[in-house]
Amino acid sequence: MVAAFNVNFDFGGADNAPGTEQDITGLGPPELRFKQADNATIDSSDPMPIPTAGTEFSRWKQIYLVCTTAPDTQVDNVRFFTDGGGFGTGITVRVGDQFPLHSAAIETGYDVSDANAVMTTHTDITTSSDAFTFTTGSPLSGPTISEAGGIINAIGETTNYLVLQMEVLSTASPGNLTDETFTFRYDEI
Amino acid sequence: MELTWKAVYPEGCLNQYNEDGSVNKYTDIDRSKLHSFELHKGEQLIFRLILEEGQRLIFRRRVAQNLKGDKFVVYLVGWQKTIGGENIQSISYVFEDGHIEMAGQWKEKSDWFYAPNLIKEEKDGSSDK
Repeated sequence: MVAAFNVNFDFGGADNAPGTEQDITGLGPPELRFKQADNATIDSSDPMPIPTAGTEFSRWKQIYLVCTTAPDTQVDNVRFFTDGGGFGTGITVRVGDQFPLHSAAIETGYDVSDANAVMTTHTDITTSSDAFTFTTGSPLSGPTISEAGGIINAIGETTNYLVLQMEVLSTASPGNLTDETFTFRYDEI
Repeated sequence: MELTWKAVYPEGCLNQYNEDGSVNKYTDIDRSKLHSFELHKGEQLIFRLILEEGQRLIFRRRVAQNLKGDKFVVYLVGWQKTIGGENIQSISYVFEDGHIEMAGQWKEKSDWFYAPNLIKEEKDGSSDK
């Protein structure tokens, strides 16, 4: 069988123990909404305010691929990229350069999202990059895989977390933002 | 376009899927007697790679999936060979619309032409390459 994956978003709960593991593949569109609440609801509540100075931070999103149909042999070499478009002046989406630990058995990389706090507050994130700098021809290598052998070859196995967060500056314009496309790419045999 | 592979030996072959539906792994291919490697769409032959001595089969199903679950698939199939301590290769990329592109060296800054993580069966036994 060809492999199949859902994209899960973990939120709520406590550090190392997410309260909810939400399959976002069937939500929306969009499937992910940056907001100042820690939930997966696609609505207009808890919008990102535009500050008069400084930066407003969304709750960070901790997402990962979870295998729902196992490959015949293995999946690896996961990469992430965006459509390169962006959300406009004063709005950035950051992606963590590190990939906190998540596997079928372990969620110790999960860090409950802090309110209005920069992503590097996450225990396992020390640096981040502009997500829209990663495009199809220049993707982010990751999230990595901590399952045995560094491969996914069974149902329930996952990648590590990919952590995303929106930052809004005073130069942003109000209104609903047009959806952007985020993509994973992987190798299967 | 979902494709299945078939490893062809001088006598016999190994299909990705047996008639009873059971699966053979890519690592089950006996590379010591591999003559050619085929990609099929159902019964239809889409691509055949005929291997020569010293050429090591490289194959991947490379999948792009967005958050909605939409997928786009490209099949990599080709060979790598060590000559004078250097790896040379030729890889074909079979796209969903049926067109095929061919390339040599891996290109890390590309949509599809970057290197896979080689498994041990694909590596030159004399090195980690």
